[in-house]
Amino acid sequence: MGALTDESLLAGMATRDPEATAAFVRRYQSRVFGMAMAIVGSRAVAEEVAQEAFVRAWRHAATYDPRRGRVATWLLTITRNLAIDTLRLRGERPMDPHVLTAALVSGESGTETASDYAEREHLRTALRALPPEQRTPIVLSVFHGMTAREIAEKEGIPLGTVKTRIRRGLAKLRDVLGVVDD
Amino acid sequence: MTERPECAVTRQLVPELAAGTAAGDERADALAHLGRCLDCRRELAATTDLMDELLLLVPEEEPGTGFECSVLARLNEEDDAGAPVPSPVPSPVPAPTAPVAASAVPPGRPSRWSRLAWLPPPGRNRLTLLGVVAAATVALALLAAGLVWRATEDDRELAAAYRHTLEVAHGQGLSAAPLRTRKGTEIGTLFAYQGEPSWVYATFRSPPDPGNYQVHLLSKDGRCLALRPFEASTKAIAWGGKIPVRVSDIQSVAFIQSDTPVLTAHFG
Repeated sequence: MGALTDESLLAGMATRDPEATAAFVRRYQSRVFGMAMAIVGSRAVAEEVAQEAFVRAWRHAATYDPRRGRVATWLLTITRNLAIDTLRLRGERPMDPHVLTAALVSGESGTETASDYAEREHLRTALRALPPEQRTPIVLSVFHGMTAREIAEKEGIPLGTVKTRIRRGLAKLRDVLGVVDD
Repeated sequence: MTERPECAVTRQLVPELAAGTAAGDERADALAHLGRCLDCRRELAATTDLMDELLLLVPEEEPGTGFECSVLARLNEEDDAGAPVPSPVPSPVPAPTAPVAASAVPPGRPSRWSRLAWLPPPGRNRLTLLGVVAAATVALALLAAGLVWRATEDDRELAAAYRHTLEVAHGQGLSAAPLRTRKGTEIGTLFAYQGEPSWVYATFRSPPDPGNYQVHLLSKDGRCLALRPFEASTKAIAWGGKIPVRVSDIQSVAFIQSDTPVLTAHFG
């Protein structure tokens, strides 16, 4: 079971196979919980969010489409959205973006493979190299789900400036990763 | 190459489309353009890929003890509640952006961790464990005595010995199930004792593969409960731990290594 691909485990979960479901939860619990913690900053709330994320994944496993992205990002997107929604409903603030950014660029990772690690390290380095005025709005957009307008209000800068900074920051990251389309 | 005006407008919005934060009207306009413009679709796809990679930078963090069991118990409840098994048909061709819509978790939902509140914190149950092992040893010795009686006396004497065993141990019942590998080979016995406390105790005919095992009890009502982990050494021939359910409620007990239940005792 441990050697099965993510897609296979998800397919097993879609058919309500208990072993595949358990293996899927074991494989991803630290990532899902890590994502929830990175946004809500409270272990108790993060565990609620992480549990709900697995329930959503279990319910919608059959609708996962590999053409839309990897299982990991599918699941982490569910987790992120739940974490953001939870904070909004509770009227609570997400984790300080600077703390989150520090965690993102720290390079502490868990179960990734060597090739994944090299790729992530490349991205971490690039993110670390971005000027804070570009990095912060990217983090607020990607992890806190904030619109450019919300970021502008929060940071006290014009909307156009926020959009430009995000675009330029993302362009630099893409350049570094070599994913610019020809 | 100079961007066309409509492309320039859409590309301003691409980061928000990729992050799933674009407002409805802007999003609708952009999607209409994306349906006609291959270059902008590529731009969006590349940005979405980049944001997916950023999500993967979040450090992993271990949840609390019992999280896995709690999730599986919740899924069991969902299954029992009749959540339909979705058709395993791939979803239609996706929209250019694919953030999963997820509604919020209702605030104040009752915690399900209370189920696992009985679990002692790691490292604080050594005395309890010694007690369990001592009780298990006494009970098993007395049971063995009972089995000797069976070889020489009639069933009534066996029943008397069994009652005596339980009386000495202040218990109400003792049952056992073969402990089998995934291939069905019986390599030991799992005893389950109903008393104060109730416990399970595994004996191995030969030491199992060394390493750390998670031990999970699956109850007949679908709950998955984490028991004390088992650190198997080359000389380990037994393991024991308290259980939070009645023996009659045990469905199975599994020793799990690397996500795989390698040894299982089914009580039926």
